Parts: sequence; structure tokens; C-alpha cells
Amino acid sequence: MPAPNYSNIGDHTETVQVDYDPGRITYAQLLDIFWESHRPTGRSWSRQYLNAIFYHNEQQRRAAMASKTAVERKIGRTLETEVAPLRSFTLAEDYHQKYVLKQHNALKNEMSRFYPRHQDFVNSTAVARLNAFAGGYGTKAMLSREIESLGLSAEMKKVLTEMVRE
Amino acid sequence: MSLAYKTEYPAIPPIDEAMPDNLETASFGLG
Repeated sequence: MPAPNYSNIGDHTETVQVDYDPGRITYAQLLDIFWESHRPTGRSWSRQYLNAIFYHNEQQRRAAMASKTAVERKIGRTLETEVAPLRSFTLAEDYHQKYVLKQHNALKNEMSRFYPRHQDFVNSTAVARLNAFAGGYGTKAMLSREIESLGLSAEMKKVLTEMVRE
Repeated sequence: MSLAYKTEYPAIPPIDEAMPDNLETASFGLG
């Protein structure tokens, strides 16, 4: 299916795609986080909700297979998570993007002033970080290390700091 | 991912300004 959407997803899988700076985090480290972020010993409910690593190149395929084998040896069980090539990727509809941040209008509006085009809003690292903090991922200590880099006004810095847990 | 915004807007958050162009991409299905 060339253009899946939420109501007609066909044989596509809901997928998190991460653009990352390899100078700051490696693919192997992302794999470590991935194994901690789902139940790899459980069978997937459906093609839509598949446990899978979709590799982009041969280097990623090898790293994914090695990582999967290492986890299997460590826990003494076979993992159900698939390792498969990424064949295509379709960005979800706009209303799915940065969903949690969009529930906080004042914060969202500060970022929309930087990025009036939704595509740029979605691609912004600052927006991604704010979405994560708004979703409860991150602590006050983490936020304090980067809050000055997010482009927020003094008022919104205060709002965000109050939202984030110790 | 397009980093076109880096040159299209007069002011953007420092964390976006500092993002290098050589990003890599990873894809995961989380069930």
C-alpha cells in the first residue's frame, strides 16, 4: 500500500523513526534502549503493532542481529522481535505528531512562532524534547541541563519546570 | 528529516541551530 493512513493502514506497522547524531549516541546504544522499551519475548498482536527493528543498511542489520543474539543469550530465551529491512516509511497524519505537546497550547504556540510550517515544527529537535518532557519523560535535573537551549520565554520555562517531575 | 529550517528562519532554538547535518536514522516497531 503506497499511502497508508490511520484508518487504512494495510500491512504497515506503527513505527518510531529516530533521527540521531551518531556523534552523541550510537546505534548500539539505541538498540539497548529499544530492548528495554518493549516486550521482546511476547508475540506481536498484529502487523500494525509489530515488535521489530527495521534496519536501514547492512551495518544496522548486523548490529541488530548481534544485539538480539546477545540479549537472547543473556536472558536464556528466544526473542520474537523481528529484524527486517525498512522498505518504506510514511509519516503519520499531522494530528499524531508531537501529540502530547499539542495538548499544552501555550508551549506549543511558542514553538509554532519559530516554526509556522508544520513540517518544520515536526522536524525540530527542540519540539521533540518539549514533547518528551510534556509526556513525563525526563526529570528536573535533565531539563535544567538543556532548558536554555529550547528557545523558551521566561514564562514558559517556568511552566515547563513545574510540569516536570523531580 | 529536513534541516531546511536551519537556514529558512531568522531565529530558531539553540538546540536546533546546533544540530549537525550528518544525522542518521533508525526505525523501531514497539508493539
